[in-house]
Amino acid sequence: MNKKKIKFLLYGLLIIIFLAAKPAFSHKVNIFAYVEDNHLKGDSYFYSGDKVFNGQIEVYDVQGKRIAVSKTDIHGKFSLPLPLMVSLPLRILLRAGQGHQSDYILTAAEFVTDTITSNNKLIVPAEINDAVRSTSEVKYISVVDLELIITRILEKKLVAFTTQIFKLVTERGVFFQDVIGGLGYIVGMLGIALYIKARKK
Amino acid sequence: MREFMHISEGVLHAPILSGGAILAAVGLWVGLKKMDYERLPQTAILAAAFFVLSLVHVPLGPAKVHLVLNGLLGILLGWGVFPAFFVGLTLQAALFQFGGLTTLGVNTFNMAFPALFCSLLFGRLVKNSGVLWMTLGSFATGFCTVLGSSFLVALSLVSAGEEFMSMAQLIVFAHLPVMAIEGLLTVAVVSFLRRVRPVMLT
Repeated sequence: MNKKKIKFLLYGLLIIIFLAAKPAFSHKVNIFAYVEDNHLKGDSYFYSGDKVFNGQIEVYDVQGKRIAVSKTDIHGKFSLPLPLMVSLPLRILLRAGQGHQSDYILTAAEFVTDTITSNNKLIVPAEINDAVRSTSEVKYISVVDLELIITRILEKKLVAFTTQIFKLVTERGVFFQDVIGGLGYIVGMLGIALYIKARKK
Repeated sequence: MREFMHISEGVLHAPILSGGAILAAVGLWVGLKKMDYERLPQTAILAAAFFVLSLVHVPLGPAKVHLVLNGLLGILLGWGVFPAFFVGLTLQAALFQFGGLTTLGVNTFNMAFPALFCSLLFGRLVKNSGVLWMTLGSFATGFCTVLGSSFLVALSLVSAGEEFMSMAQLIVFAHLPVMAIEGLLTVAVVSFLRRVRPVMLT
């Protein structure tokens, strides 16, 4: 084989590698958590979109004490009963293994206000009155029950909304500009290094 | 299969982090001292190649992997792998949030040290002998560097409380195909350079 052929072959190989490759960013792992039906629920995934299976979930209270542990299922989701009277904010840590971990801070602002006391303690709301559930017999609904029902509905509706916002914020991915910027930095550093070395000469 | 080059922040304990930082700093210092004027552009270009290539994931069966190139960088740069990896990893941490600034030292050392070690071990084969030895030497450098790096990563994680056997399986054995690919790629590039620009190999 002559030089030209080899060159051609190598470039061809490089082009094939680049074409076959699709940019997938598995490097970072994301976790998102919310409260629904007295349960702490959440979702986790790698940058590539792959779900975190069997990842360790650890919940820490404001003092850094571990108050609950769980694992993610095959869809990267987790759900655990909310402990009573915990101090907020909660830190939910995901250990995805092989050096990948991430956390999510669940602040008081993300709870429906009725479930929070004045000193940032979380109260898990009581079960809705049985009378309310069997609607046919209900003549009136107490204000407390009504508030509870609205709270539940709000929680459900807000989950979709906050999940979308979270994804918008975290799923930024790697932009072409970042790559070009990085290369620019390297060229800049080269320039500085060459300048310093040249002055020494 | 997850890639293994970037250990996240908060996983490792302080002694490992500072140990890695000190070792990386030593490597960096020697690398910068030894780098002469003519080698600078080469180092920068290879650092840029490493910076970009880790974004390019190649599907390999059910898994996606990406090239590390540290064997090749070891052959071409010697001690210069430390500055090259340091720059590449710093930019990846700053721009892509891969890894993190506290783990920069450990990550740099895990990638650069095996590269330096293997290039010293197999360098004579790669540079001074016939085609057969050159091929074997290049393959060994590419292969063993990734092997060494994955071993160091596994060891770092074991220090953080992971079980050794599971880490070894997940990281070292799972990367055997990557090691083979890196070996072949190193052979391809070295034999190409030998024909076209042998100066780069000296």
